[in-house]
Amino acid sequence: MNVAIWTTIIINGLCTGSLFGLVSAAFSFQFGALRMMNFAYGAFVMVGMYIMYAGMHHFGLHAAAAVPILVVLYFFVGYFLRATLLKSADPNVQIIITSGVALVLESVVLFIVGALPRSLLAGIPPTWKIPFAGGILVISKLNILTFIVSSVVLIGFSTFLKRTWLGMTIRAVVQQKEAASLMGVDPEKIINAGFGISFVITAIAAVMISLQFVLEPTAGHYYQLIGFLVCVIAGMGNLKGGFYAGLLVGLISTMANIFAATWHDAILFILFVIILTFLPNGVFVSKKSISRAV
Amino acid sequence: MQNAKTEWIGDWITPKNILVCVLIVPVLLIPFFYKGGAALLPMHLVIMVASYIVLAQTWNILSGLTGMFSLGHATFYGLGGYALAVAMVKLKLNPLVGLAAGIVLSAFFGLLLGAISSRLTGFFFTISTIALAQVIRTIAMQWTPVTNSITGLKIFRPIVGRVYFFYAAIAMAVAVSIFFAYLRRSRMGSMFVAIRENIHLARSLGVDVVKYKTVSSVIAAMIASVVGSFITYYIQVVDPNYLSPIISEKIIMVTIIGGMGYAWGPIFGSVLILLEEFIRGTLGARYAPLASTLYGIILIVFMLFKPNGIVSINLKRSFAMAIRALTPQKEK
Repeated sequence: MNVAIWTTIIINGLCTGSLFGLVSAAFSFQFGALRMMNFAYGAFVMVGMYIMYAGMHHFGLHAAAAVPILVVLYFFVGYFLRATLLKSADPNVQIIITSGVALVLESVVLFIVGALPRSLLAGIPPTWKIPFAGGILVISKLNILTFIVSSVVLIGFSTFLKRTWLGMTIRAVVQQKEAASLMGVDPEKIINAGFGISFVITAIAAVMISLQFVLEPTAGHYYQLIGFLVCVIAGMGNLKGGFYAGLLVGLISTMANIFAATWHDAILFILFVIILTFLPNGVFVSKKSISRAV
Repeated sequence: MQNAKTEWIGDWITPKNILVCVLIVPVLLIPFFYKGGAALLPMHLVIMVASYIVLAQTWNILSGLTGMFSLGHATFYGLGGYALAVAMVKLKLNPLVGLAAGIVLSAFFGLLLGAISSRLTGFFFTISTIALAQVIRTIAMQWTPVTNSITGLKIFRPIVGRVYFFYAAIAMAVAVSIFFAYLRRSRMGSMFVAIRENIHLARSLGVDVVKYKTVSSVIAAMIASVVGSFITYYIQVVDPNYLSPIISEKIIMVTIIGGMGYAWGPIFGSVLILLEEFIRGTLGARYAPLASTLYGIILIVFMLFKPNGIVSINLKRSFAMAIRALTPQKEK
């Protein structure tokens, strides 16, 4: 293993990690800011992947045309999900209802498409080969695209929250509902819209995942746990920390894949339980910001 | 306090309890009604329903009474199954040794869960149970020399009539349900409920929160493991599906639709397990995933409109309301 191979591994790990950061961002925002427990989160990622697949392979749409449709669709799905099913503020009720939604989505997809794994793009993805330090760096173009999209979406999202009227209103409602409603804001509508926007991020994450990984009806569980893991390392609601935590998890995941591929999941989730038990506020966050018992 | 005991035995004789006891009698007589092979399917269904009653009662102890909302309850079920299968197939031991090993293993995991719950509550505890369940499932899939990966382990046992399994399952369900009802009214059950209702208040009044949470999860784990061993011995195969999140979701659905925190809850809710077999029987195996769709929809509807489950439906009042709605009103 020379320097070039190690550099390749690290670059690929960081790119996968940026994808994990993107996956966790929507959940982190829903839980940390909106106080919504969304256990149907992985199922929606999975359904988004299958919608991409159906759009490209059955309706013959170009990827560039399928993405906007998916994004708009997901905004309204999120909006109406919050407006109809998730009105309760009780976390246990939210967990049960979203688990029910996940069960419905998974079994419907299983019924329609069957359990056979599929993949969106056939063949080996195009790569760049760069001579470096006596070896050759092999970098997949798709990985670089993923990294760019994830960074742009996350930076764009935090700018949206800080600078635009809707973003500021969402933060206001989250901080103090009553005061916001006295200023002429309808808190319910704003939370619905915030939930819809978090679903837009879910849709983009689903697109980026479907370009790289296989599609399976049970794939949602895995991305949901990855999302939880990244959020827990970063601290709930910490979007910037989420991106760094995603990079870290991506690196660990790539290393685990190389040294002990079969134990990859076990390593990640044991790490998850350990961090959750001993550093429940997250690694990238100070102890004061979020209390342990939510 | 002496009066309390006689009082609550008297409480048991209510119209609802008598009605259910009467309804159970034909179920008990199933092996005598059908002759030969025809009895096998109804008996299999009753065994599955009874095992879900027991599993749901254990989840009810953990989550319904103590308020530790676990989404990984299939772990204990699968551990019991795997312990029995590994002991019988790989180590050539008596099945009872496997059963005991499963109980010990599950008790250990119950302790672990209790230790985690002393540090985490609410949502964070819930996701840690999911992660632990996933770790155990990964081990079952990847530790090929012991667990045979996805294929699972096949057990060879002496032929035992299904009637014995049938009565054993019913006896187990009844025993665990009575145990739950007893626990709910006992001192320890009161401690569990106090922890669920207000953990800080309970702690301030001198309840040893960590101890009772651990006791609750160990009891639930041990009983669930016995069911896992029982079902594995009955079906003669164990595979990673025993540990799948679908099983956990079914257990939760049964308890919540029936009524969380009530002894009758899992008993009413477990009838829904028959729905899957019904769809498979009438529409064919291709439509089997639709059962899960229905489970999800029923769960959502109950959570929105009847969050306390079937137990909370007051038949007398609903009936009176329906009659009043149907009778013509002579106002004005």
